[in-house]
Amino acid sequence: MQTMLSAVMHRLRDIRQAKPERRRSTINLCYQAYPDLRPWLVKRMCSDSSEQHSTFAHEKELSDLYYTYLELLLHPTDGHDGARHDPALVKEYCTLSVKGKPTDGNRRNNFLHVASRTSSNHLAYVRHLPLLLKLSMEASEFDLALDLGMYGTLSAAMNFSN
Amino acid sequence: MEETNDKKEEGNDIDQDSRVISDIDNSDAASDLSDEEPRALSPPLPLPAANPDFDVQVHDDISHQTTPDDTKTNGRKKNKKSLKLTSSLENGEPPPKHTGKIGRRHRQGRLLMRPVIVSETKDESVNLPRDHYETVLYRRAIRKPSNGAQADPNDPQVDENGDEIFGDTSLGMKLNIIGGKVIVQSLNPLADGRASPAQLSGVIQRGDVLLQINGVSLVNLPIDQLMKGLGPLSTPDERTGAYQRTLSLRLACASGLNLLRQVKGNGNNESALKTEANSAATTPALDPAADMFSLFPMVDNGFSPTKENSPSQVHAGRNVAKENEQERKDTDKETEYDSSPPPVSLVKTPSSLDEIIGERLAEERIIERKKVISEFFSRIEGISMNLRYLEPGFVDVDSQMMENDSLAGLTPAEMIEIGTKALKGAKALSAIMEQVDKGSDRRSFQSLSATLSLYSRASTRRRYVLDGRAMPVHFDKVQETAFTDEEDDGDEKDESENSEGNSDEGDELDGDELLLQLAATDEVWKKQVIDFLDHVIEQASEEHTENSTQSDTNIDLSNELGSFLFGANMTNVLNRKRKSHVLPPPEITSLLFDLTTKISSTVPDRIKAEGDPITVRSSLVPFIGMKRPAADSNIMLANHFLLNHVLPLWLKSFRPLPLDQRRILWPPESAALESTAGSTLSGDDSLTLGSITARSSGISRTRKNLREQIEDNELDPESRAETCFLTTYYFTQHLLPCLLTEGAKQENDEILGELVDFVSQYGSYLRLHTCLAYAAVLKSLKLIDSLLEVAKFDPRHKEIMKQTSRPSALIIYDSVRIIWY
Repeated sequence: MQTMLSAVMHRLRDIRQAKPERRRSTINLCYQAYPDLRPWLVKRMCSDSSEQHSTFAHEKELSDLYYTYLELLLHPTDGHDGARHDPALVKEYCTLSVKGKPTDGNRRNNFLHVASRTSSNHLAYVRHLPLLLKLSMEASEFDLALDLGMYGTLSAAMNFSN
Repeated sequence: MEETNDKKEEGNDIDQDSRVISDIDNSDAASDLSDEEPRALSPPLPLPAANPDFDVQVHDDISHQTTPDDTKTNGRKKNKKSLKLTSSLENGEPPPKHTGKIGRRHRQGRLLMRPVIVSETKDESVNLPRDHYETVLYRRAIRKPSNGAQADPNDPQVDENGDEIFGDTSLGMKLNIIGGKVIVQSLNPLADGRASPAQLSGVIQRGDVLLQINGVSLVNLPIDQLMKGLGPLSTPDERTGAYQRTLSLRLACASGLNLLRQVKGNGNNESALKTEANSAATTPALDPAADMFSLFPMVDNGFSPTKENSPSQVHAGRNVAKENEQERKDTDKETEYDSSPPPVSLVKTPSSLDEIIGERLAEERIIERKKVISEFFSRIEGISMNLRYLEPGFVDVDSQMMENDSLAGLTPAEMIEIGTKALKGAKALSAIMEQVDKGSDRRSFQSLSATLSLYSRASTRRRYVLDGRAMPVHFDKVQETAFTDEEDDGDEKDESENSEGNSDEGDELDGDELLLQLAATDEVWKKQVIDFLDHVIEQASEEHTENSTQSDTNIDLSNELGSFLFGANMTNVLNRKRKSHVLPPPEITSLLFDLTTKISSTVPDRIKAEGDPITVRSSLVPFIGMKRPAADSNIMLANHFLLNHVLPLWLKSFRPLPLDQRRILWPPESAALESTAGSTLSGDDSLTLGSITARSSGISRTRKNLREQIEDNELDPESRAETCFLTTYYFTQHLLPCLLTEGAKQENDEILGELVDFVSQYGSYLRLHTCLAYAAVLKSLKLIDSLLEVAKFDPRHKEIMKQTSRPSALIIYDSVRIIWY
């Protein structure tokens, strides 16, 4: 496993110059290598602003690649439990899910998996209610925002009464 | 010849009195050589008080005139010159001329040759003690040439006897006055190289005590009279201005030898003072004039150019037979002179250097005594007086300490009790240190790994770690059989059975606990480890220096010869092997490995604790589960000692391999890869002993090429793996946590620079997976880049990179193994 991690990191370092299919396999390996390989490294490699001749499409592609990595990592069933309980990672995951195209139903569903109490998997994540309330308002998910608000108020009242 | 024949004819008829005579005759037979060399005599035998039946006549081939006073020799032989001088001295007349007649003695019809006249009437000499003797010194000259007496050329140069008048008046005898005794310290030749009168006497030896000069006794004299008595030795006659030609001396054999040795041995006049004080309890106080008197010029040695001719040299007579030194030692030491203490103390002043040394030694003795004296010893009987401060001049150390100490209010009994405990503790410490010096101390880290039979789980930990397997959380409570049941190898089973057998013994020491306690609290053991590492470092540096000097001259020739015989590649490999110091000493490495695995299985991981809430799966000692045994203070102290004191030195005890030779430490797993190609790749490449794992798991390995085999056998596989483990542990548990400290953010670049330097130096030994995982936790991209540079030289990394470059490969990353399809 030692050399495998170095090989994965080596591949990740060269991901910007790799072919799309190689990128996908590299991201798949990075997902598997968690937590030995940390998400910040994947993000760093996928959003390296130091590259001068990078095009918008290329950056968009790499940004989508990183989101794909987060999707894999925070998948309700196939993801890593440690990653689902990482507040920073969940926050970034939700933020990226909401900031995508409104037509991108996949990302919106990913957000609902985390935020909505109707989702059977929402308890698998660490949830920061103010953040989720804000993001739901940004995503025009008012029902979800109302639900989160009521849930938060009730939780606070119960905590206060206790 | 005629006399000799007569002697042979009549020799068988010597009566009872002839024993003495024959002795004397025999000595006389040797007296013919007396002019060339002194003769040794048998011990002086006591002569009969009188020999009335003797009818003696003296006959000599050089015709000495016989006188009755010759019997004063007390059996000691005199040569012809001394006989002549003696007669002239006693009669107050010049010595007679040589007559050329041969003396004979007729007794009962027999004729014997005799050089010495035995007087029937002389009785003074026979009353001498056995160790006393008398001799006469004949001065070579009686006037110094510089005194103006030589101004008149008409003055005769020789007297009527043909002896010199002007010349060296020295006697050639250096006297030393110790304890009131005038002792012969040495005999010296004259300035012109001729034998001095004292040497010519043949009887005076070093250590003899001068008792009498010209019949004037020197025993028990006060200073002024002693000086006056010694006057004839070095003072000319006031009336004539000439020195006495002859001096009659009486001496005691070797009576002052011990005093001389004591003075010489002590090197200062303290010993002389003590000797004098011990020998005479009733001796009066030392006279201040003693030192001055010791410099009194015994000899007016105007001719002496040599250093040995000190002013205390004395000239004495000539041609007296020599006494055997061994016979002197056998003589009775008790004389009337020795039995009576001298009235004054006369001590020779030593040289200034001796005096300085003596004073310094005395000061050091006082300082040493001040260190050990104590009131405690004064209160206990049977303690040496040297440990008690009875003298008022000594500093009361204990009282000074007590002033600032809380023990000030203790009673004497309590103080004695405390002192007794301290004494026992000091004895115990001394005994322990002695054992350590002898190498028999059980705490020696070498004996821990070699001689002691300890119940330790270190071997099991080693197998877990080196095989890269996951270890149970409560590892220490796991039976050894739990592990060995899984093993297929028979040897390992035997080993586990042995360890299990050890565990059944209730009296066995727990090696892990003992090791932890030693590393945590035992300063002696710690010092042993540090000293050993220092010694190894010093030795390695010396060898490196020697190799560098030798390689300059020999490397070219050996390379050429090696290339001719084996080829260039083999020569390179052999050269690399020859200067192999790439691993530290295996004994210390094995010990540190056991200690580190014990600590790492318990101590919290700083990076995991502070760096990231998510547990790093790539810990050094992998555990199943999240809970670790609680770390106690011993473990924390041992870890501190290990990381801050031992491992930094340990890293200097070997010369690290450069990065491009990493494959020597991490051999490729090409055989395993090929054997499982297309299905499964063994990812157990952490610290696995490749050959052992392959053999135990039954994996058939392809044959390595010759170079790989040589490199593989060059280094001990186990020591190699342990070295890599320890290097990685130091890097991840001591160096990397520096980035977590508060000040690290400000000095981030500097710390990172040091870390990168360490990676470039010891990167060949680092376990890349662990280091990369920890660097990822610390979010140090620079460090990751440096580690990836190291990975370029890793053969396994190359193989995996090659496999992952296949476009159709489906690779699955697993924490234990790597699988691709």
